[in-house]
Amino acid sequence: MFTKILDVYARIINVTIIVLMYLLMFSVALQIAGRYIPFIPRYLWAEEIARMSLIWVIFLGSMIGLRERRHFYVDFLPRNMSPKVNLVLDILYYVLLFAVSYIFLRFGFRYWKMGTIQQSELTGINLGWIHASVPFAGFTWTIFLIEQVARLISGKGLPEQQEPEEGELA
Amino acid sequence: MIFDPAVVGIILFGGLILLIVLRIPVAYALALAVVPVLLLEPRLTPVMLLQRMLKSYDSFILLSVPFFIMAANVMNASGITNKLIRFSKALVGHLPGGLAHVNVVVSMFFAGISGSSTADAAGIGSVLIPAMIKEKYDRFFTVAVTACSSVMGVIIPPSIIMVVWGGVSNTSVAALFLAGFVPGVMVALSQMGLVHIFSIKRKYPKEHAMDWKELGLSFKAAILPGITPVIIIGGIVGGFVTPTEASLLAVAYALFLALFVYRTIKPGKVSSLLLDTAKLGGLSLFAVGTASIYGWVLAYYRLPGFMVQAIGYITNSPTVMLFIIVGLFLIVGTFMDAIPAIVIMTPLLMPLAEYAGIHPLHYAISGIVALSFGLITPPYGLCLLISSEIGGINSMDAIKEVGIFLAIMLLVLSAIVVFPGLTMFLPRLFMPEFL
Repeated sequence: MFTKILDVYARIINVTIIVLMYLLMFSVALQIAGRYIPFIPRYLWAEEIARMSLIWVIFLGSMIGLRERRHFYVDFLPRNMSPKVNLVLDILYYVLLFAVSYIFLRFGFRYWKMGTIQQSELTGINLGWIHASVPFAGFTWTIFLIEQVARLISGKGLPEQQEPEEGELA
Repeated sequence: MIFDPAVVGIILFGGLILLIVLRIPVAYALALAVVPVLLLEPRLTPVMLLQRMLKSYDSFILLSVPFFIMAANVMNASGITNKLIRFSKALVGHLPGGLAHVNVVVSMFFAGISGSSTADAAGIGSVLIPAMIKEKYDRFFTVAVTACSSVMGVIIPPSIIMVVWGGVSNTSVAALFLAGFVPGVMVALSQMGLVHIFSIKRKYPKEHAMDWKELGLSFKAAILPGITPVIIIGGIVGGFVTPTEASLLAVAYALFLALFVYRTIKPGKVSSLLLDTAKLGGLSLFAVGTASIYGWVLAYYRLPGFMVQAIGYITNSPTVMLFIIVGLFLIVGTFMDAIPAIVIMTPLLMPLAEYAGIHPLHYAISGIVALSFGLITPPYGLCLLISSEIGGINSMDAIKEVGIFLAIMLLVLSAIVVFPGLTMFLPRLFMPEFL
């Protein structure tokens, strides 16, 4: 049940990401067009939309990345350590990631509040719309982490930490 | 409370390394590593740091990162990569060890279109690694040549990591693109030399005799994707478009070829390519954000100035200094991805480069080439990991062959450090007004 709800939640995030990517391409295209095609004005909001979409794409990507365990990590330690050591490492992993999520949620909330009373200099858009990405990330990481811990405790196991795939990073 | 920069440095670097060893993803480790300093320093607040993070995304140039990844994804999904492979086969397939040469040459062409080395390793590797193994090339050699040649992806323009470097250090991305060209070709030539020696020694086969007709035909097939670099680099250097706009043009052109000319992908597939792109781009840019938090705290405690004091007394010879800087980039590149490494290290070492009188472009290209080698060095060499996975081996097994390639590539890097003319030649020729 829990997993199913989260699947839907993740799908909504995915669809949002796709929409934002189209928006990103459209707004940058509009900026080029505005410079070269005389009858298209140079819209200031296009730049603002591009920036806002990028920030949201980054944070939404980090959320899906955490659920699919795709964030890049380094394998310094040997894989074949005793189960006890691995358990300690797992616990540390979740404690530390919950800590980051908490920081982003708690202080991101404060940051969002600050944003809601500010307007962007370019177009007057309320900065709360942009700042909201930070606490939202903290919140979503938290529930995805809870999902993983629940799976671990119930013995269902996690999706393997993903090896890098096609196109990943530079 | 005021700290000594040395103490802060130890807390930050030590904490980061510890967290990375504990398998915390690098992007989160960067954010966590500043927490102890936050707790000890009342003047720094978490909100300030979050503000810092969002501010780092406020750069128009970073928009090009997802676009360059998208262009590479479209190329791989649409079979454009295969056309480049066919042309490379016609070009160098007649040499002993033909397929290995093809592997290097096609990486060079691919690099001219895509800005990503991992897309290179994945796209080319998935075709050429099985083909090479079928023709009785050693598995380890096959993986090594695929991984090592893919580093050209970020050295030959366009390059995602050059874009990030330009954004972080206010260096002209157009000049960086021009400057990377000669070093990239040098890497290719040195690798072909090495492939030749391996091929003679291990008696690797030729593909076929030189066939001029096939060369002409495959050239014709590859010409449409082949002019992408002209559009991107020409557009930027000619001043028609910014690097960000050029990256979007690259996507538009690749999509145009894939959807309308070759019709190899369906319009419905575009959304899923966009999602893949956004996930990957989002992950790397998220690390840019946390790395800028980390870098900002370093700067807050004046660590860059402290580095000048600590290392500056050793030498003021530009060459020796650049070797030291390159050494640091090589070390950091082994355990961190190039993008966060640039965000942290570039501002940290910039004052040292300035102090020794190293030209920003020379500094940049030396650093970028050094960081690109991190893509093939364990424990965190993404290109090596990808190639090993395709080749069905453990990445540590190919370490001997990779080491030989790395040795010759380090020679190239040394040449780049010692002779600034190699990097400066093209920018001086085409855009003297920027230098």
